[in-house]
Amino acid sequence: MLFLYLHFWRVSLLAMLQYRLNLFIWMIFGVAYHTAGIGLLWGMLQRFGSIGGWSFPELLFLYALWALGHGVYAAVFGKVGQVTGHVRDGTFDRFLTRPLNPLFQVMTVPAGITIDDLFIAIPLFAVAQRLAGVAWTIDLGLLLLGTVVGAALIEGSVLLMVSTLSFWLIRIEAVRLLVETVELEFVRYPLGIFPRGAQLIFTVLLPLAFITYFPSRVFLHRAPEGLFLMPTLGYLTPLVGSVCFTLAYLFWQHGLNRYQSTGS
Amino acid sequence: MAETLGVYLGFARAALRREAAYRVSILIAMVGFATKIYVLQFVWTSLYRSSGNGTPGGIALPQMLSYMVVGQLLSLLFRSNATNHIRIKVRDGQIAIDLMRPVSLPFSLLADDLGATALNLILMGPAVGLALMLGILQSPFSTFHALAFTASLILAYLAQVHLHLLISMTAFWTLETYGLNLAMQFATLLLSGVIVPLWFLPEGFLRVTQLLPFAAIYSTPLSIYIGRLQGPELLEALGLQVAWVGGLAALVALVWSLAARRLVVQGG
Repeated sequence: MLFLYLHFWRVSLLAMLQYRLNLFIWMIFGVAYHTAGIGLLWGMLQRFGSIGGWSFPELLFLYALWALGHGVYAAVFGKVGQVTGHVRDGTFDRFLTRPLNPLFQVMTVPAGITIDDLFIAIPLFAVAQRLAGVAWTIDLGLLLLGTVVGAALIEGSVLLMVSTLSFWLIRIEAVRLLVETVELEFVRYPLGIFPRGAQLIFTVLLPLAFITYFPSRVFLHRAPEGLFLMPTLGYLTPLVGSVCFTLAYLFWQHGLNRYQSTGS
Repeated sequence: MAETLGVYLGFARAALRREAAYRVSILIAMVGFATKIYVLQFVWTSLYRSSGNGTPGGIALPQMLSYMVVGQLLSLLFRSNATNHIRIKVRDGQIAIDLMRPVSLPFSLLADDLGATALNLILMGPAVGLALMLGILQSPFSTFHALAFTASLILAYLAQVHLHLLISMTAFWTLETYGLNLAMQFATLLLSGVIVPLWFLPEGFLRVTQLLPFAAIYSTPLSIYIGRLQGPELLEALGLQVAWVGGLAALVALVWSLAARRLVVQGG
C-alpha cells in the first residue's frame, strides 16, 4: 500500500508539472490570501504591543505553524472532502467493489492534488521561525515533525467525520464550510484570550488548540497562561491527532457498513 | 417612468426570491458573522489591555467593539455581489438576448443586486440581536450621527455595487472575473478599515488608502457611527463618498459603452 501511495504521488506530481501555469496562478492566490491574513495581524499590532501577551513575530509563528499543518492536511486529506460528491453521483460504489481500503482509494483519486498550500507554507514558516528566533535543537525538530503530522491528522479527522455524515445526509458541503470557518478564526490567536468555556471546548471537544497554540508555547519558550498550564500539552499534538483520527476512522467504518447507495 | 421603475422593481423582487432559496449559504454567512464577532471581541479586548493607554487613537474599547461589529454587519449586508452574473451571461451568450430587451442592462443588474441586498437587510435583524446579546454593540454616537450614518451607508452601498459592476464588466474582455474578485476581497480586507481601523495604520499606508475607494465603503460609515468624525470633517468624508460614487458610476457608464460596442463586433 505504501508503494502504491508513493506511486500515486509520483504520478500526481508529474501530472501537476504539465499544468505549471495553473499551479502558478493558485500560488499567487495563496500568497495574496496569506498576505491579507498576516497584513491584518500586522495592522492590529501597529499601535498595540501584543495580543494576549504574544508579539507580532510570535503570532506570525502561530499562523505559519497552522499554515504548515494545513498544507500537509490539504495535500494528504484534501480529497476526503469529495466523498460527498462521490456518494451523490454514485461513483462511491466503485470504491467498494475493489479489493483495496475505500478510504485509501478516496485519498488517491487521480484528479489533481492540492499542494500549493504546502509550497507556500514552507517558506512562510522559514521566515516566521527566523523572526520569532526559535533556537532549534534535534528535539524541537522532531517536535515540529510530530506537530505538523498531528495537526494534519486533527484537521483530517474533522473532515473525515463530516464526510462520513454524507452516508446519511446527502448535502454536507455546508457543514464542512462551517467547521473550516470556525477553525480558521480560532487557530490564529493565542487560546489564552478566550473565556474559560471556549478554552475548554477547543482543548477537549474540538482540539484546535493542539494545532498551533500548545506546541507554539514550547517552540517559543513561552510561560504557560490561561486555563491549561501543563507544559507537556505542547508535546501531545501527535498523540491527540492519532486518537482523533482513530475515532474518526471508526466512525467512517461504521458509516461504511451502513452505507446504502443513492442508486444513481 | 413609473412603468420603467416597476420593471426594475420586478428584477429586484426576483433577485430577493432567488437569494432566499440559498438557505445554506445564508446559514454559513450567519455562522461566519457570529464566529468573527465572537473572536474579534476578545482580540480587541486583549489588544487594548496590552496597550495600557485607555483610548488609543482617541477610541475607547466599547467604541472599538461597536466599530468591529458594525463592520461585520456591513460585510454581511454587502456580501451579495449579484452583478457577477454578467460573467456567465457573457460566456453562454445570454447577454445577446439581454441586450435586445427594452431595459438597460447595467440598471437591471443594479436592481438585481439591490434585491439580493434587501434579503441581507432582513438578516440584519438576528445579527444585530446576537451582537446586543453579547453586549458589544452600542447605539450610534448621537441622533445626528445616526442620520449621517444612514446617508453614509447608502453611499457606501452605491460605491461597492458600482465597484463590483466595474469588475464584473471586465468579463467582456477576460470572460472570467474570479481572480479580480478575489484580489478585491483581499484589498478590501486590508485597505477599507473593516477589520483594522485605518487610523491605527502607519502614515504611508494611510496615504495609499486615501487614493482608493475602499475606505468610502467601510471606514467612513463606521467612523461616523462611533462618532470619530465630527462637524466639517464628517461632511468632508460624506462629500468624498459622493465623489467616489459619482466617479465610479461615470466609469461604469464609460466601460459599459465600450463593452456593448465590443460585443456587437464579436457578434458580427
